[in-house]
Amino acid sequence: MFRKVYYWIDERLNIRPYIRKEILDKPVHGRLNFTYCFGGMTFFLFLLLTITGVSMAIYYVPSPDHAYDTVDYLTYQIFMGKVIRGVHHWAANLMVVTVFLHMLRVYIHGAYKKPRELNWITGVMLFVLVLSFSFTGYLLPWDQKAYWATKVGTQMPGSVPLIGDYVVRVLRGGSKIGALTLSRFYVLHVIFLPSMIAALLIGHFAMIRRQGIAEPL
Amino acid sequence: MSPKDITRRRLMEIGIKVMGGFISATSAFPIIGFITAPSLKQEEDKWIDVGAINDFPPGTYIKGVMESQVKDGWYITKERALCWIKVDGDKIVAVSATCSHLGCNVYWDEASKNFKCPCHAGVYDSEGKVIKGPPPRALDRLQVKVEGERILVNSIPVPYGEGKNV
Amino acid sequence: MENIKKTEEKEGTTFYPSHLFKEMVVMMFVFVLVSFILALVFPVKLGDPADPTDSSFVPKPEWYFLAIFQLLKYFPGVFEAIAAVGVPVGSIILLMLLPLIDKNPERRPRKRPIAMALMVIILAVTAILTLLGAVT
Repeated sequence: MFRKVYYWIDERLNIRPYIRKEILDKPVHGRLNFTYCFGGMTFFLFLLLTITGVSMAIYYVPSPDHAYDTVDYLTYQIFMGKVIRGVHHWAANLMVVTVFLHMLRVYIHGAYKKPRELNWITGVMLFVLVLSFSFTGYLLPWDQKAYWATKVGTQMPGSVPLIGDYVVRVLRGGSKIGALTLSRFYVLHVIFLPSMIAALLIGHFAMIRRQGIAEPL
Repeated sequence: MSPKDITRRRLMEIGIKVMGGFISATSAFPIIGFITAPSLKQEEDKWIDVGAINDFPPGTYIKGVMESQVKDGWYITKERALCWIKVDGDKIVAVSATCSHLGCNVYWDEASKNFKCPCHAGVYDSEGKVIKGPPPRALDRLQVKVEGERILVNSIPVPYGEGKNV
Repeated sequence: MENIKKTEEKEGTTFYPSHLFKEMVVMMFVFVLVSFILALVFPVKLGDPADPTDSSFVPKPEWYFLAIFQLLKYFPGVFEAIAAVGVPVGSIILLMLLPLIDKNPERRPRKRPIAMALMVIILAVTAILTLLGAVT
């Protein structure tokens, strides 16, 4: 069945040679040890986070009146709620670990050097996105931890002279943490950052395909 | 290729840049304005009732909860904030509980007679002046007035040493 | 380009199925770890509702922000901006520019003593800050 559909599409678009050459038969080093897997792990965690995140977004309402109650509902009252939110939480934590190990491996192997400078730079951008994800995601349950961590975190740019106060206000959508902060962080967490990370991931992977994995030492 | 073609081509190239630039520039202004507008709104001050004078035994700092109706964007809600109030004879002092470092609530430690911040270990004396830790300046003060038996504080904090009732 | 060609010649296997198989094994490992071990044994909790009038709650950030959390304690007053903005933004910019700063083509770690020493120092300082942030 799958083969039939594939051939039907191929008859019209002629994608088979491309898929064979660029994906399936693409040569890869035979002697890659497990330290080369941290990037793949991170991507897999990204997929887990997307699926569990979209699932939770079905129930979650980003308003100070409802955020806490909807998270409580989706965690404790819905079938598998604890698991879905638990996977999202732990995958996010583990993702920081795998990103860190991935970067460490690339650094130790000097794989960021010419000609792969651009891939390192997109990688650092992805790292910043991952941290932004965890910071914005933290506020969404609207519990004590969420409120105070966000209050302190968004106050940090305020220490910069002249523009600091303005940055804090733009981050919060006002001078205080409130309804506007929550909807801002929600949009960043589920719309803005995911589209940015998707675009950068495509670039990151396309460059690996183009240049190949750095030769193992 | 004749010179005419080159001019035509050049013209179109310039046209693409000009039109692209126009579209980006004119859309940037409303979009950035739209996103940041509520952030720039200045808060209006108001007087908030924190309780009767009798609720605050004199001589020490007691927790005052400032509860007021606010409009947070579209959301009309009861906003709650914390301050520390000391009644000393005729003099009433209201110290903002917001740490001047990164905005955690400070608490009054009766044993050491200090204000302490739980977040990054800032310590203030009983006047709200910094003794130890990272806070850059003293705790803000809140203006106080008494109406009948009720204590009212102003919602906009004043830096230590400025304004009345400090 | 030459570098890339040389790399390709030495490569011994194809993406499908042998490399994908390896990746799948790793994904299985991560999947089981996250969904069957972590999510079930250590369920995530929802704390008390946000309360702006609380003065006893100590907001400790997630473990990966503990180093900055701890660093904030060491920069009092006007120097606060150094820890709050300077160090994080500065390190990200340096990290991003790394391939443009370090142009030494040598890749083997043993022949890059400065790069490796820097790495060890930065990791050690971050680890110490994180530990201090966790215990205090």
